[in-house]
Amino acid sequence: MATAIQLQALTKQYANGRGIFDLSFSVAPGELFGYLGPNGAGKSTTIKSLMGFLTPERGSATINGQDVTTQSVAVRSQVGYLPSDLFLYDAMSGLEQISLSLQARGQSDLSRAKQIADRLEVDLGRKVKTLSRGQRQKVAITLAMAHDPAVLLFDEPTTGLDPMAQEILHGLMREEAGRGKTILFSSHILSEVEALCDRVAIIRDGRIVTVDQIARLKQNRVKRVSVEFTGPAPDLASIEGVREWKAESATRASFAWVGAPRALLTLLAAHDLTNIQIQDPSLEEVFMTFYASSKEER
Amino acid sequence: MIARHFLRLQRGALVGWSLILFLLSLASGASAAAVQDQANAAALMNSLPPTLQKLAGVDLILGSHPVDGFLAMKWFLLLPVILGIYGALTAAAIVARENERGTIGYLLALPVQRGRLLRERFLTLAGALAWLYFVDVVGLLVGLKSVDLTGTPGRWALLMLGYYAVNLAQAGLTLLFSLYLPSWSRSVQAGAGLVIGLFLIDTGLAMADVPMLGRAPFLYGLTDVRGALLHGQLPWPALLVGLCLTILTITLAERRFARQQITA
Repeated sequence: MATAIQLQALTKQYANGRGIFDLSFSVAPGELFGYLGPNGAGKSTTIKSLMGFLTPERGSATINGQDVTTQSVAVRSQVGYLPSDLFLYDAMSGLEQISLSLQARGQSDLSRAKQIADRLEVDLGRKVKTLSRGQRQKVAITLAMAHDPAVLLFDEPTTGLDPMAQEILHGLMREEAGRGKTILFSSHILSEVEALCDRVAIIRDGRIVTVDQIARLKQNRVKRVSVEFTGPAPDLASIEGVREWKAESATRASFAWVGAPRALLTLLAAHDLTNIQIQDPSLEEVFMTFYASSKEER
Repeated sequence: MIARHFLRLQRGALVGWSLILFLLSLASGASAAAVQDQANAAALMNSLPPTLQKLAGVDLILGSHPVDGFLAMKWFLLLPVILGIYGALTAAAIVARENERGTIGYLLALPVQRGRLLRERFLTLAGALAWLYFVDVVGLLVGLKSVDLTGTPGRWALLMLGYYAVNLAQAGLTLLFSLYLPSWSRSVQAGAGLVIGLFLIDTGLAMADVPMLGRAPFLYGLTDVRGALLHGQLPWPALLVGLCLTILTITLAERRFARQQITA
């Protein structure tokens, strides 16, 4: 399979011991690939390594066949980068900053930038310091896409955007993928990744927990269940799919459910209940599930 | 393209510095009326403490050319410190300021080698510094003209060439320090401290009649004020040491920047 982005045992460790470790995954050309993880998991470190901001200690990464460390300039010429933190000059207008970015790539046509800005409803002529957080994010998105790059690296792109702008951005990302552009975008919002991607990598504590299809991810998704029994709570800890069983009182218990919803309903139907609560888990719980299963696999 | 961008970022500061420098040099030029004849020059000279009279040999210059001597004492002494601080501030802005305000990511996302980025920004600094020296000469000439006096701008230029080389070396050192220091403000402190510290030490050595070789490590003394203003000599020690130090510091800074891990 041809790959647009390839990471091979990529490792970058900071002085405090955190970082990314042995990351290996690939993204196909034209793929919209999600990179999911909680804050501090290593998503930004991965993307900064791909941009050549950080030099990996071990392993390698390529974008369209070019090494991100030794051919960094060539890589950056074909990449559109949107960092998680705002990085624009306050005293300059969006248009000025986009013009410079285009000039650095031997381009001068601002028509694409203007089209994207129109879609996002942002005024590129205004100085960045006069714009709101969301408007600044829109300028940064326009900047990343203005030179029509083959690969887009978006680090939490919807940060600061209102729901309407998020929808527009999602539309733009789908269109770009439809035009054959490769997009790797990081997020800590599960629903956002689900809505956009077919495939996702989950990172936790700097290590890849899983790289999988979203559909399979959904199947494995954990639910947080609280139940109150009419009589004494039975011990269901050993039932397949039940994790983190906890007896809250004589009649109440809570647990995490990993598996198909139907199997959960079958399990609960076998008992007399006075109350039941089934909640979507926090993202952390999803990670814990994958983390636990990846440990078991080892 | 990189140079134009840096100049755009520094535009406000450069305009402000140009204006202030022009006004200060204009005032210095105009105040040279105080020594428009030898008698006044001698009177002024004698009113100074002996250690100050020795400073930069202005006594000899005053005797030979009152206006140049007056400027050497009143203005040319401070000029390299003032523009040294400008150079330090601007050098700290090349990378450290970008790191501090989070805009380094914008620069590094451009398909440009880090070394080129640093070099072109430093060359812009060098151009801005040259512009400020030019503004200074113009201000002095206008100031002198206002009191019907003339100086020897050709010889000032020789003197300023030496100071310019020293300021470039100081800016190069500040840039290098800024790549090791944790913040822009610390870089500015280090740069300004270097400029002022070297000046104070050199001034002390000059008052103590220490020869040029002894003052050489502190850079300012490498510019022979008397040689430039009295004899029209090129301040080659300052040029040689200043430019070599500049090249060395920029080379080291490029190497450091190329390896720097950018987490911002």
